Amino acid sequence: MSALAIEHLTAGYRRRPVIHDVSIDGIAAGSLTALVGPNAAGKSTLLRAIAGIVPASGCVRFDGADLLREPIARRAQQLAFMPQSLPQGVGLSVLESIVAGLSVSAPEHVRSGRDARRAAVSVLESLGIVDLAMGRLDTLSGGQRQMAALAQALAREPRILLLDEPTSALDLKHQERVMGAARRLAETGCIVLVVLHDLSLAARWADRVVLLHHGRVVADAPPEEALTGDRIGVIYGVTARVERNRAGRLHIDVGGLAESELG
Amino acid sequence: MTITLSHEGETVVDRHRRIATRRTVLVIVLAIAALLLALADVVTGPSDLGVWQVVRGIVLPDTLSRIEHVIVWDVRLPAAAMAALVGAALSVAGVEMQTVLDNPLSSPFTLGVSSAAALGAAIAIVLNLSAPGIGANWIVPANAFVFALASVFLLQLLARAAGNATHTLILFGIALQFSFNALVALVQFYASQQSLQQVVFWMMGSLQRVGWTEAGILAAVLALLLPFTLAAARHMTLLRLGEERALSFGVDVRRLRFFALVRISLLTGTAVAFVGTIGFVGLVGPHIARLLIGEDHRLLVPASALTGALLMAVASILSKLLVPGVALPIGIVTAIAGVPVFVALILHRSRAA
Ligand SMILES: Nc1ncnc2c1ncn2[C@@H]1O[C@H](COP(=O)(O)OP(=O)(O)OP(=O)(O)O)[C@@H](O)[C@H]1O
Ligand SMILES: [Mg+2]
Repeated sequence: MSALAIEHLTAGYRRRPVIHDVSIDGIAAGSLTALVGPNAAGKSTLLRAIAGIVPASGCVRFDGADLLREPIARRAQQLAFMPQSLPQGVGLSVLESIVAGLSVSAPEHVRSGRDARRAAVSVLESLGIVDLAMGRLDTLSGGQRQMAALAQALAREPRILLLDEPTSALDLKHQERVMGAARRLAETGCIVLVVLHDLSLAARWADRVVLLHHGRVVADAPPEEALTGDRIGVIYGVTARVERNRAGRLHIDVGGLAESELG
Repeated sequence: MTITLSHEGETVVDRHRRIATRRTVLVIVLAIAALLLALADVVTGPSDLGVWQVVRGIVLPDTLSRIEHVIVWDVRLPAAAMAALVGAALSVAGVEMQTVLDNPLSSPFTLGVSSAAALGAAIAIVLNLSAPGIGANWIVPANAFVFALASVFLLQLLARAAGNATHTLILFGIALQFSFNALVALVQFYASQQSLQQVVFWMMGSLQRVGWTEAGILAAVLALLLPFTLAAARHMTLLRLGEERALSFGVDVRRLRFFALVRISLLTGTAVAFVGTIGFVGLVGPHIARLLIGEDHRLLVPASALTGALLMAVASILSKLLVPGVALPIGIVTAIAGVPVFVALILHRSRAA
């Protein structure tokens, strides 16, 4: 199975680069990578660059091709992206929004409207939100809308899934569902890249953590190596200790703002 | 796959399909209603022709006397057809504008198309323009049309220079609108008494200067553009879910916007050129359609065309009935009657939310 490699990616807005020469090599198929970092580090911009939504230089290698130079319809066949901010006031039902997406770009086995409706329902079932199917997006809560957006991305059965803070509005149960769904998709051979602010969540679910700061990669390793107390302290400007609890899980204990931040 | 049953024992897919069917039926009902109202529009008028006389005269023209024939076939039918066509054109342009600008308060006139057309018309009237090969009564609409199109392309140029964000487009549109309005005022300031009156009358929006040729041209423009609008419908629906998401689905958003704006300007420019500024239909038509049909543009676009046609037919009837013996300019009627409809819609929405 093919890996995803990001090489010397520089991207930004109106000629102001936000991420600089970012390289992340060999993101294996079947793996779940968490992208973490402080606000404005450039996490969303990096995902947008990979998805081809902001102009970028460098390359994104996948399956022997450079995704950045593929026609956008082909790229859409391989890659699904769930943005961080979701629009409000959309008068479509959850099911309609998924079917509308599939009518533009769908996996090969979804050939008809009937297939699309079925695929949509089964994704909603897998996320445990089939009761939202007929709800209109503009009447849902923020977290429900996030689940609906995730369902729309999952329904495409992408080979690369980019999720920008998919759990930011979710309660504990739904966080579990979302990360579980991402994990399951990874197990089918998909490459999953998730932006997360919750470092404990990242440590628990990710195979690999990429820490971004000021548009550059400052750590790229398995969670226990990437997330050290010192590093978190320096990058986030807090005092932090990382411990392993009895279940063997990483726990990030934040003591407060670092001295340097206290003015 | 498990089958999920809701409490009524109906699957989600069944419910989805039932709603889809109901919406299709609604579109058909709208079509019938629009047709009936257009017919009512033909029947309404100052001369005392009976309903059946008119209906029979439409089916069997030979049953009408010569004068009746002129009234029905040369005055009322083209005016009613034009009313419905203008409503459809402005409402379709409105729904596209609202989606493309991601702003429910947009209308075909948001970006200054109507002001540009008014400027074109005013200049043609005041300067008494003439051009080889264009008849005297075509020069005003032709100039209005040219100005309307030119304004959209000017806008595109400005927006491209500023990076194509929708809010910049809206801001530039507003700026252009103010400039055009000021220029219209300037032209009016220098106009003679008689041409001033003509300009003012043009800007009010009226169906009285149209015949079959004008209606035919607008019908042709609509028939030519509607297939493209419908072809873009799936992408437009996806655009409602946000630009980033649409892009990630492989939708070329910039291209989609550009061609939507071209269609909007052609539809609006043609409609405005012949009948002047008709407010509110392009704003309210899409809103009513959206309330009835939802936001799947494959149905929303035809539904908007029909609600627009329907509203204009009603406005046209009112324009003939409100003041006995006088046909008010229809632009005034839509503007006055549009306000309560608009307020009712907003109240309905905020109550529903
Ligand atoms: N659409 C945009 N236009 C211009 N600049 C932008 C845009 N989006 C982000 N930026 C800038 O790019 C930088 C990185 O933003 P980005 O959204 O990638 O950060 P992030 O790591 O996702 O932050 P957060 O955790 O707050 O979501 C910021 O300085 C921001 O101001
Ligand atoms: Mg972000």
